[in-house]
Amino acid sequence: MLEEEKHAASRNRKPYARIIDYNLYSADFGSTSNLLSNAVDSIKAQPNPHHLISACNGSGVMLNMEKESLGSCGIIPLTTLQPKPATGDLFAAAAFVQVAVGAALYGKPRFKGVVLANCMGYGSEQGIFLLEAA
Amino acid sequence: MRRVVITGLGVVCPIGKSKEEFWSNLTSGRSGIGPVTLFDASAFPVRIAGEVKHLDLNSIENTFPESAGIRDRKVLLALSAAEQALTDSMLDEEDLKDALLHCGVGLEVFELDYLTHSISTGKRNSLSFSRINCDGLWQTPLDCTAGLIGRKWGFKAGRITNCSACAAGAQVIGEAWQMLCESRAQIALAGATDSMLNPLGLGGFALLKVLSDENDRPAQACRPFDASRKGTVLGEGAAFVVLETLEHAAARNAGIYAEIIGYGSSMDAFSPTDPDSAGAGAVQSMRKALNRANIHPGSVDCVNAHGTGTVKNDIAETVAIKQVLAASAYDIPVHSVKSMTGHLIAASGAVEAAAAMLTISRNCVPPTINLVRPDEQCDLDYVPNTARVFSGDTVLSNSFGFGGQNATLIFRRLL
Repeated sequence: MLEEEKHAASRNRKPYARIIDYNLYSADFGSTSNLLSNAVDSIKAQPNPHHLISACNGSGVMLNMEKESLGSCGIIPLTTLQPKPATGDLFAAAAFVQVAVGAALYGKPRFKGVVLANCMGYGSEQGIFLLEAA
Repeated sequence: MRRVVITGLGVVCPIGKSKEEFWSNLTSGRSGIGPVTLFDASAFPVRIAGEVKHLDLNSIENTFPESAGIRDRKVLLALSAAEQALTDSMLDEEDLKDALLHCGVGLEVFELDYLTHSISTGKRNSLSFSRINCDGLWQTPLDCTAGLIGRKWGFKAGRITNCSACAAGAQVIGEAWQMLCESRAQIALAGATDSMLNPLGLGGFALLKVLSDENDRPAQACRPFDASRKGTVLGEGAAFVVLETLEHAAARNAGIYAEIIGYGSSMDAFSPTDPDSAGAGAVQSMRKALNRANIHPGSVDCVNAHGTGTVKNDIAETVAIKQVLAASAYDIPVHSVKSMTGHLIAASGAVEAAAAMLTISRNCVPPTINLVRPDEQCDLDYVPNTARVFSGDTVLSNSFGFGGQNATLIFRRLL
């Protein structure tokens, strides 16, 4: 559920997290290496993410590619979570799991920082969400 | 918030395979509905439809080599319309690299011709069509259209596919408009396509009892707002428009059809197939669009109605229009494109948006044909049978879909 912040406050609902920004990016199939860096590049004015919800499915190659792409944008996450090895690849539902896991982190005691939830799609579609504590 | 205008459009539908042919036939009141020729419908209770005649498959394949082997007509119609829109806009391919792409597509994902044959014969791959995909692919992936268009012109700023039935075409234009208003991009290509003209599609809609079965007079079968109307007629088509921020369009001296000033969307949450008889969802959709446009209901100069020709929709829509526009509803023309094209399902909102833009840019309101004796409960000015001069500035276009999904767009002459 997404809710406008003031509306949530008016009904005393404590949010899980706040979405700061998002971006979508597409490329020709197979051209995945630039996807993430291009997607992130457009939101580089935002706070630097500290934590990454990785779109990788357990593949070391994908994980390294993800890290390199983010590194090229000056982003080196302190922590990285990979939901997919536990959930399997949920395709159309995957992005929601990525964002939900990212938002749920703010329920952990003393958890701080900006979360980048990476959502990499078949056919070279890319989506990223930046989250912060609400 | 940025201002957003339309700088290109392309239409492929039963009354024309180009913008000019479409507009000429639309304003002439020429119906595109006739006997079904795409398959043998002789055993069906409904044997009429709005088909796109003589679709040039070779031309489409020449432009889109990747489409070779694709038999799904809605994909092919979309490719043709998208190419027209981009050519019309005169944008360079380099401009499209950062452009958004929003595609509305039909609900069904299976290649229904293939599935129909397979079910009826029990054989999976034995088809006699000349253009078949023999690898056993039963589905047209929902993002097929967006993928083909996106890869052809290098759209990289995100591709969205929408399948909200008859509201899809209007929703993709509206959602693209919002993203440009919010400076997410400078340019967007948005449009929709559908073709359910196959045995399962036509048969399924006939079972819903929403189609006219007047097979002996196809051109008169779709009669929106007429007291003797018996239902809608299924059609196929596609339309795409190029949206551009006003700044970007002005900087390159682009030709501008109209400005989009409002968009609203709602959900009836009432029935899978019937509209809410009180028109509540439709009212909400129109009011949201008017609020976004920041205009008074009395500022609307014309309504491009959803106008399907079903008994329920036409009454519900009339009720809703009167609720929203109040007394001014009686002073403005309310016309139905579907009276000539039939119901293009997912594509209808996009094709009708194109008609709305042309109404403004060409100063002409198309007619609602076959309107001889209006329903007593439909008492607005539906522009019966003859087009008329349009001297207004603002057109509101409605799309109310199966499942109760509603969308409204408001266009205005660039001031």
